[in-house]
Amino acid sequence: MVSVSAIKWWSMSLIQVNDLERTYQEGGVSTPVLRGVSFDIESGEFLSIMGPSGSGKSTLLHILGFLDKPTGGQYLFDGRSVADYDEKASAQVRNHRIGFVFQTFNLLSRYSVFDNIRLPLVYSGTEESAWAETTRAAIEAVGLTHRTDYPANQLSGGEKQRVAIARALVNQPEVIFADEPTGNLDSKSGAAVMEIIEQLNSQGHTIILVTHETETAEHANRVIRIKDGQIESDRPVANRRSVKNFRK
Amino acid sequence: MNLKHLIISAWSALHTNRSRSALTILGIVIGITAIILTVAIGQGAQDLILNEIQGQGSNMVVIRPGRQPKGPSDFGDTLFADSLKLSDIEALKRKSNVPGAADVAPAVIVPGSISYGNETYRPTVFGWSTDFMGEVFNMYPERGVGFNGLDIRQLSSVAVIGPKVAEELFGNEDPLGKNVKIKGRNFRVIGVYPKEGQSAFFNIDDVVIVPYTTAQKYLLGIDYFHEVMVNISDPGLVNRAVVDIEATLREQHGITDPDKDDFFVVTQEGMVEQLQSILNILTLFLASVVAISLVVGGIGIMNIMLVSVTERTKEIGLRKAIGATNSDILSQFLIEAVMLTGLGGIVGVILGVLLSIGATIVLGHFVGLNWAFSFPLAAAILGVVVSSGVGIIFGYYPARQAAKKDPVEALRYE
Repeated sequence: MVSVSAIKWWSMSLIQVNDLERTYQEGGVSTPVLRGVSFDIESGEFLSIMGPSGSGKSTLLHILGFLDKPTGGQYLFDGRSVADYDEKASAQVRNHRIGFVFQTFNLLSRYSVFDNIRLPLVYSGTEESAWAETTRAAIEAVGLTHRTDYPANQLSGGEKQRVAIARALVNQPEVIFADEPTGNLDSKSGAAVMEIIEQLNSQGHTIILVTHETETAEHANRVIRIKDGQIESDRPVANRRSVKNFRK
Repeated sequence: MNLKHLIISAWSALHTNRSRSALTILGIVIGITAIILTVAIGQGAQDLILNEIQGQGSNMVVIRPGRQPKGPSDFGDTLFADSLKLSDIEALKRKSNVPGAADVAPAVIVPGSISYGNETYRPTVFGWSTDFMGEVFNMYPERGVGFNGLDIRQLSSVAVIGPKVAEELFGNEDPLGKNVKIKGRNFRVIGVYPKEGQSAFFNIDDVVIVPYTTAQKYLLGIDYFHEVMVNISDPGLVNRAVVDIEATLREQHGITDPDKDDFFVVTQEGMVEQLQSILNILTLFLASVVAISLVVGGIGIMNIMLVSVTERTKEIGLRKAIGATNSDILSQFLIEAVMLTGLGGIVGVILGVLLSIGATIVLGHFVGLNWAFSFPLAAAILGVVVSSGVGIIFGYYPARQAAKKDPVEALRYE
């Protein structure tokens, strides 16, 4: 479990959240969704965020993933406050250092598997000559080589989510955010997806998983439970589930 | 996102919604087609008219009564309409007054119809001189003869008719020597012109020419002329002759201040210039009317782009989540709009050129005009550039809406 930030001498946490608040303002009514949330996430961790719907777990994920900004408190990513990132810099973090996996896959249906997975590279500003190879490597990592040129809308749900995972990891990001990745899948496809996620974690990617299912959450080594915008509990998982162990 | 991938991505988006894209650009296609057609045909008409003017009567100057129209308010100015009289013609004919004048021919236009037996026809009836037709336009009767100075002086009731008139009134009968009735008066047909077709000014096939003196006295009851044509012996003398004509007529009319002239002289050069500017204005006017359709087309594009942005809200959210900046999204939708309108422009240019060629062939074949197709290169380039510009203008707002979308809300959009 070696990643770039883990070997820094001052051993600063990858993600530091301090008294984080997010309040929505709509029509003069303010709705606090996150009310003072604090925790650190080390590089290489596999963290689950759990909570009932409306608890603020998705909002927290969006803020951690640079899609939203907190209205109060502090969020340091790799030692730097998120407030210091402008729109372009945030986009760059999302592109290079973060990968997203969504419950609804969010593939572009008119694109092939290959083009969907390549998409982050197109926004990366990297050398185009390497894109094809990088994309194929990501497709291989999720075991979809035989589907490379399929249109995305002809895939099964499990395959779609694997394409989404490949897309999330194609830029080799440090953190992968997964928002209910198995929520729309049958248990078998869900297990396949969780296996890939576990694998990514073992390769050094930090995983932050949002779910409301305890079984899914317990694949992580740590679970944070959120209720009404506050942390209810934050503890390590004693009997960590693993797809591989489960199969055996 | 680099330009290549922007274009690929835009093409893929437009290609997915092929029929919608095609319908969307229809407005632009029609607009550009119409512009190309207007300009090409306008250019063709201009070339044709100018060629005809330059081809005929290059030594001719025309004197008209009244004031030269200088603006829209001067049109229909009938003041001094009776200023050109027989005494003026005589003065102009005097070599000491206008040395350059080879011949002076006044003309009147007689409205109304002409009949023979039970047949009635409405040609253009001129009180004129057939000699002048011969000298200046090189038009001589094919059968019979023209009338001469004696006929003019004696107010003879004779007429030379165009072939169309002969056909309409006489059919297969020989018109020569027959009497036709104009305004109740009998005229003996003494000549028939050969078939010539449409010229820029009048259809020679469709004219009836009678002595101007006869037309003045018996048909119109006036003692002035509608027009006086002067044939100048040498093209180099035209400018000099104009000065002489003006001086002569001013003296005749007792005018000292040229601003108070009750006549004006039109030279071929002046006519070409004037016509050219009128035709240019006309073409410009038509083109700008047509340009309105581009605005309508542009609004159509904007409408569809807004629909597209809303439909693809989730895609926008996803693209932002994987690292697209606002300007990436803006460029993407802007390129789509420009691609749509640019494509519309190109299709419009092709269609416009094809239709112009078609119109040229039709006009040449059926109307018998020597109408040349001229490829409106400037209009074609302008068409594509302007339509692409329309894409930028009308695509910007939807693209801006797309770029401004909040990623979280966009991802949640169903």
